[in-house]
Amino acid sequence: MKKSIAVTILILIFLVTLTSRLFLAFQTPYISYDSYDSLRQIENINEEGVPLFNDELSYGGRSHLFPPIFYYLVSFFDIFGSDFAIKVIPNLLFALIVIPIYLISFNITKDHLISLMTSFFSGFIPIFFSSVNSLSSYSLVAVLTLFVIYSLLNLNKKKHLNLSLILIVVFVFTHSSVFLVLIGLLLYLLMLKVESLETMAKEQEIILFASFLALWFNFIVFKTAFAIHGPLVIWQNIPLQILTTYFFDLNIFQSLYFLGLVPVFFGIYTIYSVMFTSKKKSLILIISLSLSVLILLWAKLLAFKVGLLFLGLFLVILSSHSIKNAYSYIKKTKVPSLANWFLAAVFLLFLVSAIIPSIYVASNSLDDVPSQSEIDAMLWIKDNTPVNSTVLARVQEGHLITFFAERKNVIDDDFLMVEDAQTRYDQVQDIFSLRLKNEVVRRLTRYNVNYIYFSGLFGSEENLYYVNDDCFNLVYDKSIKIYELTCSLR
Amino acid sequence: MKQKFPLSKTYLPIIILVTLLVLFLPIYARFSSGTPVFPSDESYYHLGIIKSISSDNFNFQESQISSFHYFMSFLVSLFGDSITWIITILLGLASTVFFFLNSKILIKDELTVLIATALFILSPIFLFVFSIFTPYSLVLFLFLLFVFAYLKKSYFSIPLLMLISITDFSFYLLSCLFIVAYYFYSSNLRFSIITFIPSVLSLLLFSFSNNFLFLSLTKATFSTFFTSFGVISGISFFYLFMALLGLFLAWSDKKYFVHILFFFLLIFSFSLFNVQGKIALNILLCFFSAILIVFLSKREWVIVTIKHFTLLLIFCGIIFSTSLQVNQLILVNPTNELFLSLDSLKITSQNQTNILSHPDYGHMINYFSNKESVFTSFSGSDAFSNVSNDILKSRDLSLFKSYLDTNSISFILITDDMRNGLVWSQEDEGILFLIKNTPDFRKTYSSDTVEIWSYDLFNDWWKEPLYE
Repeated sequence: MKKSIAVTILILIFLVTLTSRLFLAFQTPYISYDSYDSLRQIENINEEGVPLFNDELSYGGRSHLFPPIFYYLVSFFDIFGSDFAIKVIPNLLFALIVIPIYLISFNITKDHLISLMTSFFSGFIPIFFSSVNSLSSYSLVAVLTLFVIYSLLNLNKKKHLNLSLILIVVFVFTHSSVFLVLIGLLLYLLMLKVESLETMAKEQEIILFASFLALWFNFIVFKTAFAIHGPLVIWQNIPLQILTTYFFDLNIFQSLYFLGLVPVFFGIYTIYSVMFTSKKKSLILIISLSLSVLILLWAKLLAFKVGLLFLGLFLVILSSHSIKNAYSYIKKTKVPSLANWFLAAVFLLFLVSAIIPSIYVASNSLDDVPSQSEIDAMLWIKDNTPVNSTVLARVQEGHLITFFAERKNVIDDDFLMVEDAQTRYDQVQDIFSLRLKNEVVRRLTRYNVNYIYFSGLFGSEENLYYVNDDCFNLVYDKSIKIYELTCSLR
Repeated sequence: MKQKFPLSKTYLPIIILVTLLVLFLPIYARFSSGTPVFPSDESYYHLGIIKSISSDNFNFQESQISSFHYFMSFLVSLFGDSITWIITILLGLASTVFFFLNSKILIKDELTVLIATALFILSPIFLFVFSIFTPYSLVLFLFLLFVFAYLKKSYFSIPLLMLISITDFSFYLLSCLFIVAYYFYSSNLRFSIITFIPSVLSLLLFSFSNNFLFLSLTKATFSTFFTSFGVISGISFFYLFMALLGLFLAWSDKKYFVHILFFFLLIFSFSLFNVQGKIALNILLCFFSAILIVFLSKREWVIVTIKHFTLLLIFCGIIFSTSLQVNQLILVNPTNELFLSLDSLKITSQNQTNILSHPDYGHMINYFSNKESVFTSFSGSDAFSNVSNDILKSRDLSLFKSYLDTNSISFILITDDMRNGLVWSQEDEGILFLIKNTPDFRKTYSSDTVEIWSYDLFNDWWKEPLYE
């Protein structure tokens, strides 16, 4: 295949991936519940030039800690309209991964057709569609990870050397998941040593530099969080009940569902063949990165979905090697014409095993956005309640309160730097299920709550038990109910 | 042939100056803000023992006493209380010198020796050992002196090992481990045995005559391992990371790598359970980190621009660990407010009454208030946990009063830390509600972070608050 044809097909794959993601994303005008926090950060950057590190509304007043590059990137594109920035940029970044995947696969296989196939696979890994409606910084992280790998594989060329340095610095300043990549790179050096393979001085130097930069930067940024939460910072101080849904054991059937049969099967076969037969440095690098994901998932130091996202990327790359080997093998047999049929079969198998789950995962993601009635209720709060009032809602709805209603919430899903996160979570959950009015009023008084927002969408309760008594005034009565607290307990 | 160290003459005085500066910094900061010089509750446990060691009613069975306490008690009786922090600093200084001398013998490269010594001085553990009042300061000095004598094959190492055996059992084990490790290197079995046997006898003799704590092993927890988690007796993560890379470099030394790795892992495992283990691990971390730094600075970098950046990052990381630890040592209890609150209790004549508070304040209460804390950090944590769950978090007034009467408690010390998670997590939770709304309890001291409540056990004379 000619290079120009390959490039044309690659652009087509990119456009197909982007179009399908955008088609799904624009099925709703809203974004996922948790993304409204990022949206506030972006709005603050647009208005004041800096992210919202001191937030007066979240938890009734708290501070945030995060590296802000992703928010600056999205806010830059806000000049093309907020919908473009919020919906298009994350999906554009996710769609962009097909390009580095193609480049890395080509570096490994030296085969345009198989690299293009792999590139297509990467665009339709089901787990990637879970973020189709999210303003997720992992979109940038995924692209950066792949370009860092690509530049590390081509360090002999000077432009790649400079590129790798720039990308690593940007990556360090973007997200703390750089540690996942660094652990993988250090494992890579270790594996080369164990296998008695030669390491390039440039590789060592870049990995060392990146490791020290990441350590130093993250200690500076998260210094206060470490002092407050200790090792719980690793789990972002998430309350126990939520933690069990974020971090759980890797299950092979779930992996097949979220990653697709082809990347998992061929990826694992590549790991086996590289470990025991061919010692190819580029593949050892990808295997080391996969290994770091598996170790972190096993140790429950990495959220399941994030782990699968990275694993998906690495397994897709690895699968290209096995597909290429099988393809070359069939070509050498007495029926070489079957080789192309083999590729067609693999492609078909991927379509069957990944496209359908992708659609299902994407539709689930579309359900994870607030409805019009919720937004209306939020806007009612904004127009009809005192500016400094506090509204209690479920943890998932916390960011809606701060973004749409512009009122203080009691809890939301950013728990870092919140000293009593576990207690708050328990108490807020209890408020929705308690039957004793006095106890509810006591807890509401403690958090200075003025209004209760009850949608019934989260949790098992269909009604609040205590609201028929005095003290609770139903001020908004549609599918969403809003109660005003009219008394307090001293 | 004798190794020449031309740089040492210039740098050794600088090292000594830096040591003094680093050790004086937390002391000066605490002293200038009116805070007691020694940080941490543990300091006041040992100061308490020294204070009462000469008194007739001292209970040798209940205290974990070692030669350190006799030594310091003797010096205090001669020179007064202020000798305690002078001796602590002098021990720190002497330990630095012997660390340097030992490094000179063990490592042939002068730059590595100097960097290892600098890392040792700037390490958070070094600051911890020589800023608080603890037997670790004496035993670390003795350990380094013993290593020096042993490396010089001097028979002076025999009494030193005996002294270590009666000062700290964990360090005695570490010294024995050093003998075993060095045997693989020097193969001098006779000298090893001659040094070892007398120490066993001294250990046994001392253990019979004193309630000598053999091994203060704690439950291994990740949360108390690193200083960045707010623990003053922790290891710097940055040091550990550098040392692991340094260890990786030692791989090229095929002859000794397995031994090095074995002893490193052994001490690392020990350090998970024990502060003494962390102190020993810190020494290894300084060596391996120095190996890495020297390797990086001497290596011919292909990308020269990042060489300087990498070395700068390492320097920043080291300084960052040190400054974080200095800051923690300055801010840690006893604060000025806690000291004043406890000092206010001295003027009451009720010396026979007890004070209820969190075990973390136990020894400070005993030392500053001249009264007995019901719980202390060394012995009362488990008991306090039960009392906290059953009584302090409950609003059963009769149960609470009965507990106070049974234990002759007439004061309750409550700090902001106790209100915010250490004991309670909610406003007016448990007894916080009771003491506020019951006439039997009266607030006798109040500041921004500390409150003392008196309970009418047998007093009618707390009519007015002492301070407000």
